Amino acid sequence: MKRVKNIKVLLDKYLEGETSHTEELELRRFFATAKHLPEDMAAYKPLFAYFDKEAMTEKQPHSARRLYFRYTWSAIAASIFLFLSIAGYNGYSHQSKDYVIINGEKSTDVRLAKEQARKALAEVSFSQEDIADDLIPQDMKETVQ
Amino acid sequence: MELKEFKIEVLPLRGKMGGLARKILSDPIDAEDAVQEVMMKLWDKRQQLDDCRNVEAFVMTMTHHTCIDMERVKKTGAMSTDYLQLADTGNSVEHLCELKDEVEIIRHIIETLPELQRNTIRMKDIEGYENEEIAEITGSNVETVRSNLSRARKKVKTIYLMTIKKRNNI
Repeated sequence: MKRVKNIKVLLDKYLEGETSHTEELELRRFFATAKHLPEDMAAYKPLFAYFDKEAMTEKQPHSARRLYFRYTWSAIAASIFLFLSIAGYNGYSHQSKDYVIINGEKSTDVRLAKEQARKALAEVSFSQEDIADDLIPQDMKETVQ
Repeated sequence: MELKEFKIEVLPLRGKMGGLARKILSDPIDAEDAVQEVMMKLWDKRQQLDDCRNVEAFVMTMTHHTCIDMERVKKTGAMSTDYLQLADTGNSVEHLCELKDEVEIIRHIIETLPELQRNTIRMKDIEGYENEEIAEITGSNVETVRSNLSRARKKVKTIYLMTIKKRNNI
């Protein structure tokens, strides 16, 4: 009964052109299922049924609001995609896939790898003089002397 | 063309449209109605406006035609369009009584409303725009939209009740 009272208030607003679209949808929902209506309300049943029918069959969904909605949803979808790709990329790079092969065995132990690398580098390292000989051109050395 | 372009390209022509409308229609209220009606028609055709080479010429031609139509309707009855419409529906209530389906009666009533009222109802009740959006599109104020909507809805209700009453008496 309280609902009927509320609907009556909305109907008065509706006739004055003061209802919002949401309130009008509420009216439509009410009249779509309403039975045994008081006489003064019965006229609204076919009215809202007509609007309901027309809104469903309306072939050009081109309301400004709907358009904004479409953009909003695309924007949300795009941001989610962007977020996921960045998060995914970072996650991927944090999870190291690097490995070394020491004596034919695959290893991901960083410390072991560094130690082995230092040893290997020590074997091939040159003395200061060797480096100077290699890097400084012959004619430059002459001018220095 | 969407709302942003429509506001930039079409709405500024409103003043010029009003000037033309007032020249053709002597009543300034009718002229304002005509401009609003043209705005709604233009909004409906906004996709076509993109292909239009001279938007202003198109808009002014449409305003001209709409005013001439309104003037013709007024002259034939020598009374306000609103009144004429009611007299018309008075005749057609009998015709409406023959319809069995109440929803069909509503459809017929809405189809016989003056164009501005019919378009306002269509935008609000069928396409789901808010009054503020309709005001924005037609370049008028919210109060004008509300009052047009109210007149249209009350008229539909009155004619519907007249029809049902008559039908029950047959």
